[in-house]
Amino acid sequence: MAPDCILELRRVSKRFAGHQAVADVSLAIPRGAFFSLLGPSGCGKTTTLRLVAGFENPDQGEIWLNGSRLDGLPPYGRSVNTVFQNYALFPHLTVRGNVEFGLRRKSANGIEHRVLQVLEQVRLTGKEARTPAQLSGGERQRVALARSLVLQPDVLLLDEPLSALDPQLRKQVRAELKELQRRVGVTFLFVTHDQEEALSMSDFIAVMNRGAVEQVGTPEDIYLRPATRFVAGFLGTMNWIDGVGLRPESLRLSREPSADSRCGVVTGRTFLGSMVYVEARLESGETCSAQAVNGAAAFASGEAVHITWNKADELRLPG
Amino acid sequence: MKRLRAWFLVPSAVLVIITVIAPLAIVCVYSLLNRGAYGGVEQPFTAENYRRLWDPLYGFILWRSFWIAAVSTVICLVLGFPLAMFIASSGDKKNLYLSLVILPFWTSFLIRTYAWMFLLRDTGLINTALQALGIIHEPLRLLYNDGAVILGLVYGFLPFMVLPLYAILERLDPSLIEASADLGARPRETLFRVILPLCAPGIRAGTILVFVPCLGTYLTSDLLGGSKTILIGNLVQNQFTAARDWPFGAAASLALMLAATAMLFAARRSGEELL
Repeated sequence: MAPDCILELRRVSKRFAGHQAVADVSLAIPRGAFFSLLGPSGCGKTTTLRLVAGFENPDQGEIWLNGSRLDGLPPYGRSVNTVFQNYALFPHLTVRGNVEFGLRRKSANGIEHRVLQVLEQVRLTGKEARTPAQLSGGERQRVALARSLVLQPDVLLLDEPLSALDPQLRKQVRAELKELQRRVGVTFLFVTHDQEEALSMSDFIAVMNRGAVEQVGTPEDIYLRPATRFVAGFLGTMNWIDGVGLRPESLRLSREPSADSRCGVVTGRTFLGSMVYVEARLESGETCSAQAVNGAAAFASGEAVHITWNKADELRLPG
Repeated sequence: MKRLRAWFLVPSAVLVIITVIAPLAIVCVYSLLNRGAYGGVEQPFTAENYRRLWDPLYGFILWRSFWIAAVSTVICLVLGFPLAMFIASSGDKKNLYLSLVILPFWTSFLIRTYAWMFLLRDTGLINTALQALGIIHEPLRLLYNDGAVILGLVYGFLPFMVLPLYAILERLDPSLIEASADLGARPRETLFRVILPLCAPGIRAGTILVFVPCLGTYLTSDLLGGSKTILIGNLVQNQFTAARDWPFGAAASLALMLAATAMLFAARRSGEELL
């Protein structure tokens, strides 16, 4: 194991009745990193997380944590903790009861102090006596975080923890969660299907598709240098012209033809405030979407348009 | 709609008034009258029937009834909880197992109790088989004791414990059990710290559904307990039949009802505090 890696999956596979959930996945998660598993639903990202948590056991492969073998141990024998998608707070316990739940086995010494400290970290001071039913969605999510963080796990596993929040709150919580991770210094393994979430929060992203890892890299790597057509198409919008990939922001629109421009017809436009997306159909029949700064030449539907781009922006990808 | 809604209540209200409230009122009045020479009741009004209930003999019968009902309820809970857990976690086969639990209801309780007599008596199936195998030489005294009554009650009322427990367990969010293990709790701790506390409403419902009918039982104790096992239910029955003392029977049955109701309220009070 590389010295800076806290968690490592080695050729892990898991099959459920008639469907390969995780196929030969190898991952190395650096210590202290915010590491995301990103992919569409059914891509195996949640199963991968559950394999690390111990709710499932791999058919093949090994999982190592801090230099010791993890697979085969029951969930209660692993120093990783999970924040569940629905938070899974114990409804019969108060906020304090939930946070203390995992501490019960440890020595009573300093429990009080740890609980108060972690409640302060997630801004729940003063809500100790409430039950989960008396909390807002955001507060419940923070109780779920506190309940896990108080145990000081080697890795915190987060299964789409923002998906139950309403959209306005989600953006705010993103920044808070990232900030909390930096402050506490715990390694996060974060599962999401939301590319914006993954791009904005992660140090590293593993993009998964059909049970396999398609690419691992920093958010910039993944977006700017996608390794496969799937990754290119899954993150942001990708135009395919003459078999090469082009991001909407790489395309330039003009009313005048030039030496290597392609000719097309505008089929629609989407106004997004700071920018405008222009949809066009090329003479070759391909459709593309170009991003133009608002206020630039306003193309109307049906208008002829000439499209150019820099060769350097072309992405040539296999499969 | 609101006015229509009140009408929905009418059929059951009429039924309850005719079959519950009116008879209860009659029982109340009877309990305050004197016995007639050949059954029935006669004037004048008296509190004598209630005074007689304070006789230690009847206190003992009441206490025994509570004790047998309590033991039967605890056994039902201990047997019913694992069974409900098993059924709730058995996926496709849930409905099959549930119908097996309910299956005995297709036969009359009386016939099922007689079946136990045939199994348990000195010349019954169990004793005959054990003797034929040479394990025992004298028949075991299986029938006509408290054990036989408790066995009959547990057998008869176990489904009433299993069904409410199943209803709760089936709705229990599996991620709570995973969360408990994730936070370091071993299966045993998860059972006592998560599953059982969340099942409290089901345990309470099952306990009431089993305890109350066990408390008033007379058929099971009559057939399986013989003349030795007099419970409050048998006492009431006797007063209306052999003893021809309707007023005292009415007073005893009202005392039983009051005791059971008081217990229900106590259980509800403590239950609310639990939650």
